[in-house]
Amino acid sequence: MLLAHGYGCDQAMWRFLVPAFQDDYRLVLFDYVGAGKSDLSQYNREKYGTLDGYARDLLDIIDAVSGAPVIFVGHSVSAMIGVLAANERPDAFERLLLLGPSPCYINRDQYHGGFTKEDIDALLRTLDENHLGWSRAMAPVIMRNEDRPELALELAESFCRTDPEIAKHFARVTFLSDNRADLPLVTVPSLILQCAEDVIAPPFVGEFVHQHLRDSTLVNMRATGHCPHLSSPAETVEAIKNYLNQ
Amino acid sequence: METTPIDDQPTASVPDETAEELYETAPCGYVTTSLDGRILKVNRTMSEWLGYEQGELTGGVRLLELLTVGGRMFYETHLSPMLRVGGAVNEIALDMIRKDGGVLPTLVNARQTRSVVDQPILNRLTIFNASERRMYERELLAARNLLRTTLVSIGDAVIAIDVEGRINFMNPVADELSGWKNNAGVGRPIEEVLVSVREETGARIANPIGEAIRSGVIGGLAEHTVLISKDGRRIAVDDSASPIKDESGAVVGGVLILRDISARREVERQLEETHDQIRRRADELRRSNEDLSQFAHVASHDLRSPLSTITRYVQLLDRTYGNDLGEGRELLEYVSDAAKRMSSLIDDLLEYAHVSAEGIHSSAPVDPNVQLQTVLDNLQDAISASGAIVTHDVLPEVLIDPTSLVQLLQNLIGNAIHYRSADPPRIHITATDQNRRVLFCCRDNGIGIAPEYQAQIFEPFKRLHGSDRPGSGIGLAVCKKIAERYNGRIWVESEVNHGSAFFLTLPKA
Repeated sequence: MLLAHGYGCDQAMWRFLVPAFQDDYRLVLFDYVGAGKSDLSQYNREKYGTLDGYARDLLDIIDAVSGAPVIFVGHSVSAMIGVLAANERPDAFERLLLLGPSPCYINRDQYHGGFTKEDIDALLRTLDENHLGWSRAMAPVIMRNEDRPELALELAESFCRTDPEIAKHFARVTFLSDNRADLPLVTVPSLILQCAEDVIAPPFVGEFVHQHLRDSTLVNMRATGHCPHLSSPAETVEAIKNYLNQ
Repeated sequence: METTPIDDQPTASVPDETAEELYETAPCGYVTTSLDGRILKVNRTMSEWLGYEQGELTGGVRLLELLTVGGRMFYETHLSPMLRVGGAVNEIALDMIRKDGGVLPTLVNARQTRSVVDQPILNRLTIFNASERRMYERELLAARNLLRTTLVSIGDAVIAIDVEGRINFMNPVADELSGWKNNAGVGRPIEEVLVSVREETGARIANPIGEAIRSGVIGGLAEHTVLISKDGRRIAVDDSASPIKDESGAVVGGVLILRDISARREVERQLEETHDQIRRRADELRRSNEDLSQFAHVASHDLRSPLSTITRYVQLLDRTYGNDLGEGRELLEYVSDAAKRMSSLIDDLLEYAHVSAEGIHSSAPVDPNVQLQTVLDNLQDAISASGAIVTHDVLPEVLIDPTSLVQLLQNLIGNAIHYRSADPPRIHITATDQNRRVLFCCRDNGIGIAPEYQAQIFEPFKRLHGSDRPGSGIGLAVCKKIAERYNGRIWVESEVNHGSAFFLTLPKA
């Protein structure tokens, strides 16, 4: 089972899910180039100028760690990265588990992605303002947890460490991408986990993805927000297990 | 005497403030939310800042509804996951929306509250009104972005280093030039990233930035420096190295500007080559000219001596046996005439060769009116014989050797008389001031020159007429040579039977 983190975070976001699956599956977690402990020098604006660059990395990881088809768990933008990789190499995937997927974040004609181009610029400004005080060295120390110093230490090492310039570029690539046309090409069976009150991927979008993905199962969760694996890990685990045990 | 102490500042007594009052009126906003972000409790300060009644905010309102769109996206993609995973985040810059639609720039600290069994229960947020700080930060950010985009947009390589010589900034051109892609040179010693050698010897050159930092003075690379990039390319570069000084004047680093001048160096090389070629050609030309004049000179002298012998023996023959020759004497006259003609040809050839061999004499201003008078005196016989009338305007001073000027004018006027029509020759000389030259014109009413011959007449020994007119045909060729020697020009405008106008430009005094 390959777990791909979403935009704004790194593999640390899977920590509440890992215990539920580690006994039954071989779990592979990773950080995209630019996030977490990845090698920043490998970042290449051209390669990562579209989600295809990330999809290629995904296939490289699958080839490197597994001979068999994987169960892919992708959150947020990773859902679409998984879709692109699965269209490239359907044989590498057994299932696609998509958490809060959105093929297009921008409103277009009859499609309500939820945002306008101006909104994306506003996000970039907010990012800029929150990266203002970050030097590269300081970036990981944004987290602090005085109650549990051992955790704080671990977090300072890794959590949500994102290079500011890469974060901005990734945001632009993520939120301006339009992968709606890639959905009908998918042949791998998929599960869509749709949260209530998700401003990033609203229910309309989950429904859209469901209708355009062949052989897909849509689960509307009670969990709110954009990160069900963080806000409601138990419900998320249950939904995944139900689907995989069918 | 007892004095009453003046009590400007009465001892402040802490008012009887309850924790509740402190919470409500603290100079910061307090917000408590459920784990999924619904506002459970908010203090008075916060609700007043936002323009709401406290009750309006606690009825199931989600915190992110109070944020701008950019803030909501940041909340969902960054703040909320960080809080979930790490338990706390500090100093997040967020814009909150007031009830009246206005924006409240804030800084937010947030922490999860955990139960005794270490389960998260609530989120607590402390919110600071940071309008001014956020404004400064925006200005700072705008300035930083401007600086960055400027440095990134610059066409030259820009590299900044600290006092230890470690690179702390490279723009994209610097990455490209040095071959250290993706800013890989940042953090490394400058000497490792930039390897420069002398173009001729290949000897390593110390980077001038070190000296600039030591001396505090702007410096540059020696000429003909080649940069060897990480991938082995050799690039001709020019550069300048400046120390970076802080406000106190202390050197805190240095900045190096490098420019790829390969293209310029290539052009310079080609230019040098062309220059060499031209110099070689000029040398060859000068040598061949010298050879030619030398040849003409020698040839003329060598021709003259057998010719003198012929002339002398013809004269001797005539004196001694002239009376016995009868009609044969006429033949002797033909020989004598031919010898004279040949002698005159040799004179002309010598004159022409002389002009060729001469350099430009350092010329003082010459008054052509004086030289013209000399010419008219020289031509006195021809003028009176032909009944020619020679007139002229006042002629401005020119920079030319006086003898050459006499030669020029005498040839032009002499020709005008030689090639006369049936009418008595009328010759008029004018001069027009042109920028840095004087344009002379010698106009006559002679037989004129057909267009097809107008260029030919300036070539040596080209005559349009047979022996019916005197002259060897060297005059105009000499004029042309002299004019060209002074960077001038000579040409003719003429129509058959309607006279000629010879034009001549010479340097103005």
